[in-house]
Amino acid sequence: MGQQPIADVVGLFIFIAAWIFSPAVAEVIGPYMVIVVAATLGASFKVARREKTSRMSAVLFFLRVVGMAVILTVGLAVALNSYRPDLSPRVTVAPIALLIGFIDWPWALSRLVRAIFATIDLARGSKGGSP
Amino acid sequence: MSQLYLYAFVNFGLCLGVGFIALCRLNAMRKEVLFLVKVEYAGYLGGAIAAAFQPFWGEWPQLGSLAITVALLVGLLCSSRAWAGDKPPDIATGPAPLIDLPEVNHGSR
Repeated sequence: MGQQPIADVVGLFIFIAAWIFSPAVAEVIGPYMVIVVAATLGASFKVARREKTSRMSAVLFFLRVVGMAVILTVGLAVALNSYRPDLSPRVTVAPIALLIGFIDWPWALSRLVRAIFATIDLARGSKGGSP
Repeated sequence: MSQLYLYAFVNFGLCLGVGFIALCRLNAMRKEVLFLVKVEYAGYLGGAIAAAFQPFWGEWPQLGSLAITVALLVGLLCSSRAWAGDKPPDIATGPAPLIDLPEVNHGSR
């Protein structure tokens, strides 16, 4: 078929839109939208909990959290599926993305490390060195 | 088809506006802000992101959804005075604890 050259702005616009919204692109991105929306809901509570910052840094923080959820969620869902075959990744991606967005990870990890140290102290017995 | 693309792009821009305002207000919230207010703006943000990217799961925005998005955006812009200076309005927070007042707390803390 004869591909006529794109002459006007509207034609260029339609060309770009057809490329962005092509079914091939939507097929890849579509499943990730569940993750993005779930992580958005979680991250909005995290932004509200956080100290007030400038608007730009809030947007960047939000994008970091959602991006982390997009990167990590599928892997975690597949790993969970290998332990529990009855939980398919289709079901678990939304809760996992919500948790990744919601939980304050540095705080949670520091609590975890403190619990591990406390367990070690309990096991070896406190020498009374620290108060 | 090109009209669908036009609607999709306009919808995307409007939803980004709604999401940006909601994100700014979430950023402005302190610890004392009521949970219901946080839920409200989290809902706005999640709904805006979902509506902005709906062509990627095969649903195209039409005039009706553009209308409700415009209504949301106008509503958020109209309530901008309540959030002026990125401070939550008084009704968005619970009552302050009385123990923090110097008249109540006679230097006992």
